[in-house]
Amino acid sequence: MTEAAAALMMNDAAMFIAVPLAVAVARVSGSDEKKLVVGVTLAANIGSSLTPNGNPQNIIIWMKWRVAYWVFVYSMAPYVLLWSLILVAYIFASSGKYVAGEAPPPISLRKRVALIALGLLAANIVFVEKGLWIEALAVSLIVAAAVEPKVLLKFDYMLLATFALMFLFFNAISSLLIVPSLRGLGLIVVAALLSQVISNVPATLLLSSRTLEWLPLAIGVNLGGLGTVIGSMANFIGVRLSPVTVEEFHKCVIPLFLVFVFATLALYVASTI
Amino acid sequence: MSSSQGEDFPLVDRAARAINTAKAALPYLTLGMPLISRGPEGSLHVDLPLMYNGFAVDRVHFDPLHMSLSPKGRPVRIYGSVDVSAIIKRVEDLLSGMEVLEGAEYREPENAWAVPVVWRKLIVAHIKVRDGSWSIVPDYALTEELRRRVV
Repeated sequence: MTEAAAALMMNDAAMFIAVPLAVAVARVSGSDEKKLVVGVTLAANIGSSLTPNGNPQNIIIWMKWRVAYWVFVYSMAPYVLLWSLILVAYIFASSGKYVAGEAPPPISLRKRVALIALGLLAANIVFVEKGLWIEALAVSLIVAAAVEPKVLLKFDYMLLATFALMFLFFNAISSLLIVPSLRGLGLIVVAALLSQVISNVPATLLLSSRTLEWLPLAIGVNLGGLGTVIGSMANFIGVRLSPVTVEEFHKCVIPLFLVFVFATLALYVASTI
Repeated sequence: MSSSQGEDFPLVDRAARAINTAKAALPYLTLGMPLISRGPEGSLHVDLPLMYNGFAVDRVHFDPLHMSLSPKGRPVRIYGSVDVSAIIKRVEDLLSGMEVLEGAEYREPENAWAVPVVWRKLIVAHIKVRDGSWSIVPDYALTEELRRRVV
């Protein structure tokens, strides 16, 4: 469920629902809270890797290389499947049981708003595929103003400005640094490791001007999100929303990250032979 | 709530169903990060968001002087500072003492039943249950505020 939600509406947004639910389920079922939180965090990152709109690094790659939506999904699918299988194996190996019980009552959704938001998301994807970015923004603003004007007033413009400045900063840094041009396996390794130090969105910005290959970059930066708290914004949100400490998170994630890295490299080599 | 629905399903039964829904939700409730608000005269008061599946359903007044909860309508204003980590440590104890009251009030504008949550004889929050769909009604404004603070 977390993977599907992240693929559809972005990993960070999915985390706001999945992590509190994981914490509550762990409390009710007596499961290991740390492993459940780590599990849903990794699931959000894995699921978001599948689609161009799943996370910010994919959006950057999608925009820069103008990759067709379904080509992106088709190309990332084997890696997402591999990572999902590793995650499922980890969950079963670590908990040893499948927790099932009576489902909690559902949340009352504003169905009209939810349907309009989904329609707007689909329209935005179509507009952006055709390079009509201004039109996509205009339609979004008009629909939001007509349906839920409060959204425009409450929108976090400072956060948007922060991201815009971050993008400008890393673009400027990228043009100043002497980074050799990278490709293939080397690009995947550098992107995954660099993400552990500066996070995967800045790593994407930094490396996107140093390579002509979008797929190894997408694999590397999404793989990078499966590591440390710094690796992905979703990891940071996971720790902030749960009682799991950074140390506990790393204790669970780092051994698993090494498995993800070796399995990914093996799959990439096998796919290029 | 139409009268025809009411005839098929008497009002008391509908209230009972809302109470049972709130009871089913109770084990999944968590308390979120403390919300500290400052008044213009320098006082501060602490609220704890009552969370359900990642959505805030209500805010609970916290009493930093006694490290306990305060009933609805009685925010505790203090001067000085509060130890957030000490409040977080108290959260599990506070949650375990919460119960759903055997009664509900109806809120027509939202078409929802407001079921009181009690903590040691004090009504500290309400869980709103949508009539008909028997789903939990979130406080969207509070949820947005909390999500903004996380990022």
